Amino acid sequence: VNLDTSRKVQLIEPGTADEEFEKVRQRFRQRLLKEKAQLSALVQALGRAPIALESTFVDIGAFAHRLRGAALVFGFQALGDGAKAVEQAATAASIDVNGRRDMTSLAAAMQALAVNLADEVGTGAPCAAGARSSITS
Amino acid sequence: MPTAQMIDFSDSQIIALPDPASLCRVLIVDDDDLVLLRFSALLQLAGYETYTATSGAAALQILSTTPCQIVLTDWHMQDMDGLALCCNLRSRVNDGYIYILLVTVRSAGSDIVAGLAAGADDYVVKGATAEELLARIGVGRRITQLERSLRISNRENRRMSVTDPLTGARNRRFLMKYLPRELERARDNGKSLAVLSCDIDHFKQVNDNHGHEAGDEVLKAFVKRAAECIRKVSGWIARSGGEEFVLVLPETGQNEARYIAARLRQSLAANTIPTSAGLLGITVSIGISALETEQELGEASVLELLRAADRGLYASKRSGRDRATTMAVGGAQLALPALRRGNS
Repeated sequence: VNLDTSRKVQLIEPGTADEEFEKVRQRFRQRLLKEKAQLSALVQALGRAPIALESTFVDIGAFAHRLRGAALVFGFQALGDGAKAVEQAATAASIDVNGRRDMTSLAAAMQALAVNLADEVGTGAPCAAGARSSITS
Repeated sequence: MPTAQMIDFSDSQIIALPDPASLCRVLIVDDDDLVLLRFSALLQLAGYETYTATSGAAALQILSTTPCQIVLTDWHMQDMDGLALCCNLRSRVNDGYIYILLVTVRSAGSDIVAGLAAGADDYVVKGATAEELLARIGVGRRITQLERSLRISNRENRRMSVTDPLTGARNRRFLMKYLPRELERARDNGKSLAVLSCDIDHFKQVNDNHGHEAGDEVLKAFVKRAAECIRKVSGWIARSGGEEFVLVLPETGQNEARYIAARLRQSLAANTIPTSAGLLGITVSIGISALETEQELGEASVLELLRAADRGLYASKRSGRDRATTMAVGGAQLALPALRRGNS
């Protein structure tokens, strides 16, 4: 679907608010598989570089920011919090005198996020209580 | 420079916008397709018409062809982010007010301040409830409805302030404001400018003998006939007094002005006016003045132009009414061959 259009967007079949939310939410859950793979790739990129490239940190921050926003919109609060920790760690990682970044906290945050993603992808558990009524939900 | 005809008091642009009573358009801007889906679904179910864009630049493209009252935008996006979009929208002249709601994960106080300073009207942190988002969009809907009704009201007030409510012709205020602009434009373009000063003959007798309702109908019919005789694109009519009118004729020289005066007199003579008191025949006395040469255009003032036309009108009255007399600006009656009814 071309989402940049001046035509009226009719993206959904009429239904109840909960039904529509659940449909899109399931699509988000399916997308988490891709997010998981992308996170793995970023972890590898971070590990490969002895002196991590600035662009890697930027990519990690952008990935985490996007995931954080969508996770909150679809009621995945823990995932959103995990992504926020990664985004903040990627932004805050300081550069030492040798041009190396302190990646300890970033690596830990990414590891925690990977666990979060694995949980969501693996279990397919329903959203947390209250998520249905947020915009999130 | 806008001409008097270019001053558009119609509601065409406003009518082109969706009727807020039945429809409210929301443009949703986010670089995440599923977030767009989610918000679209939510808003469509709440009765909004939704459009989507994946960047600020795409949003501007859509808004250039599709007016939306509300823009709900993310902050971080490639190409043009939400803050830049806010700044851009606030720097443009839009058809109507656009209510902007920033929806982002950034929740620091400084972020909120930056968002509002960039031009957003409201700020929602992702993770808020659907009810809160809908309530905030509802605020935007109320505000844009209020702004629209004020805009319509202002436009109507502007129109009424320069329009004669009875005949629909421009009023004296408009005449004295826009005739100088017509003269300036004529000077700039080196084009002639003519005015006809018209007075309906024995109009008091119409009122006295047939009543004011019939008199009003005669005035309205006169303006309608006069409008049929002038150029629709550039000419205009002002009611300068009770039964006195001024026809302003840009790009019109003396000969054409005299022809128009003859057409008007012929139209009135050939067709009586249906009124509540029956068919009434009227005649009109006309004074004509025109500025044609570069010297005339450069030296004459609006008042001199109007005074010359008025002198022509008085000369027509003194000569027995139902005729047109041409007067040179600052000079005497011009010795031009008489144009009788039906002559061109």
